[in-house]
Amino acid sequence: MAEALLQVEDLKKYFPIRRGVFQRTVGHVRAVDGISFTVQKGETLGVVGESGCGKSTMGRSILRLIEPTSGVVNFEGRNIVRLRKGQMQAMRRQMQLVFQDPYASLNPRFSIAQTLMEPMIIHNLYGSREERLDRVRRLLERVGLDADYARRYPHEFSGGQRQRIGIARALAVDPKLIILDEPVAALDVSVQSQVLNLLEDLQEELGLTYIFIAHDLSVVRHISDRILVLYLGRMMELVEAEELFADPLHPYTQALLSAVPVPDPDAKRERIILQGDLPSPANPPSGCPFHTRCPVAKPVCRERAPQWKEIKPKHYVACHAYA
Amino acid sequence: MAAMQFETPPAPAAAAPPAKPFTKKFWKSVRDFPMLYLGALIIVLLILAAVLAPVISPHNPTTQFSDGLTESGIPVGPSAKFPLGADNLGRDILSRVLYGAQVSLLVGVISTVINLVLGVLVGTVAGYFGGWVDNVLMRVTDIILAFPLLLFAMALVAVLGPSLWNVLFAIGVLGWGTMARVVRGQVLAVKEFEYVQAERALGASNTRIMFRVILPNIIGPVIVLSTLNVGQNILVEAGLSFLGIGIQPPTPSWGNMIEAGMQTYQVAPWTLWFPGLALVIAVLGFNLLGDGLRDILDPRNTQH
Repeated sequence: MAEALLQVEDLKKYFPIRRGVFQRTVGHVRAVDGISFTVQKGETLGVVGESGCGKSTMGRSILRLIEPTSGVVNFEGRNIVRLRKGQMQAMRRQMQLVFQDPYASLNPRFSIAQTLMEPMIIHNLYGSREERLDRVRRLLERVGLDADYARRYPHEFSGGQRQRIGIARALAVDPKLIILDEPVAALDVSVQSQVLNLLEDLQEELGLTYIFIAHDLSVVRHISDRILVLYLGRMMELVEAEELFADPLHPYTQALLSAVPVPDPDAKRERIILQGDLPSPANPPSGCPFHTRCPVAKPVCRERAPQWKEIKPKHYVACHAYA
Repeated sequence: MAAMQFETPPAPAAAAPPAKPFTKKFWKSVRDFPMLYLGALIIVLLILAAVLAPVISPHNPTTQFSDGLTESGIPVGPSAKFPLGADNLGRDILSRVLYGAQVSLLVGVISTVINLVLGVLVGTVAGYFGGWVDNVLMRVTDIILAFPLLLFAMALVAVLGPSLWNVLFAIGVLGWGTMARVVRGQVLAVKEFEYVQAERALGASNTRIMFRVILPNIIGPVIVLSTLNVGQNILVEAGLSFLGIGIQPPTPSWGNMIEAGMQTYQVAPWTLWFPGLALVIAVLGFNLLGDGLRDILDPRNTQH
């Protein structure tokens, strides 16, 4: 597990805010503001945070579906941010994306066979139509669907089935890395666990590496090796999953954890309710972005951004409380 | 797979309502969208008239009959020999109206195809790429749309010289503005769907995304607009011919027949009525079909 598949350094994505007749840039939305991490081969990195904290933007920036403003994304040692268009298209075979909304992510005009053959046609895999169709059938069976579904259209399927098709599409090019952008958030709870189990089986079988984006900690806990907590586009805490739940260090993580429902009516728990609203990423607070809502904020939090530090072995936190 | 048990398999298509006979479904559809079928019927008759004109016309459309005019030179009215009367040169109006359908359909359809190709191309590229490409293309479209099509086409035909193909070309290259705007709007909406992003994530080229993924998803409004466009273009051709810079006599076109009829309508009103009526019915047919298609393609109006 020592081999790094993906290494992200100081990734930033600022969206310009334009106003007026001349579309002058009057400011930036700092959706992703300096994120760095490494993902090992075969690992699952969970990424959590509230809505609007830049999780999805981060995922799409890594894949260059949104061009990052700055930063380095090394995939197997190659900085893909620098790749030219043609090289990038070829590189897309290695990294795929699974979307949140299974109703919007499948082309309603394509049959399932067409949807799944599309990646093979784009990358010119397999010689003939028969071979591709054969591969489609195997992919469908691999994600737990009937091979005969190939002839049907997306509207004939349920959300869970569509999400399986979305996963099959990502698998069609034999990628090494799959970014899962809230893949179960739109599904019923009973279906969620089936899809999560499928993802785990696939990872084991195919040696996949996942970046699993979610807003639901209990979902992430189930599947992640390590978890990265984001707030307003910045990193708050990064640690192994079990450790995060056993000993959360950052006050924001503690607040998030206290909001996870516990399936035990007698369990005593202290809910940490955060004050105020999520600040605008167009005008983030000075110093530590969390200080406006932090229950243990000190004067220094307002002035300087805390450093990203390894407080305990393999347990990284950005918080002045541990300086 | 055991995990599948919670998910409902899609209902087999055949198990839907017990298969109704086709004719029954057809009549239900006619009852639901009567105007659509009326429009379609008119267009079918129009096409038949145009194609069969050489067979069903009682006379040659350019032959001048001496008994088509009275002794004082006034066109004769509807009779057994001239069912819709004769025109100012003693030619059979019915035959000329039937042959005129050829010109109208030819100009209407081919110029619309040119509109369609240009409008879809400009609209798709503008909507998909956005930014300065969008700005430049849409400002060009604004310029095109700022002039009345008839006036613009008049200027172009005046430069090129009047002929069937120049009229067709002029209407074709000037009439795509609305199509470009509609297509751009649709592309802007569709390109944000996740299946388009998925296609990008797979490494598809822009051309592939535009024409293989986005275009099939906006085809409904494009078909509707094209149908309406045919009617409009037929009208513009008639306008040009009426003004004498379209189809040149003796070739019959509804526009130049109306123009000729203007000179005699006080003494022989049928010379104006019948080509005018043909024009109204043809344009009405295309408009009814276009409106009907818009209704039938609206998912809120259909059960499936």
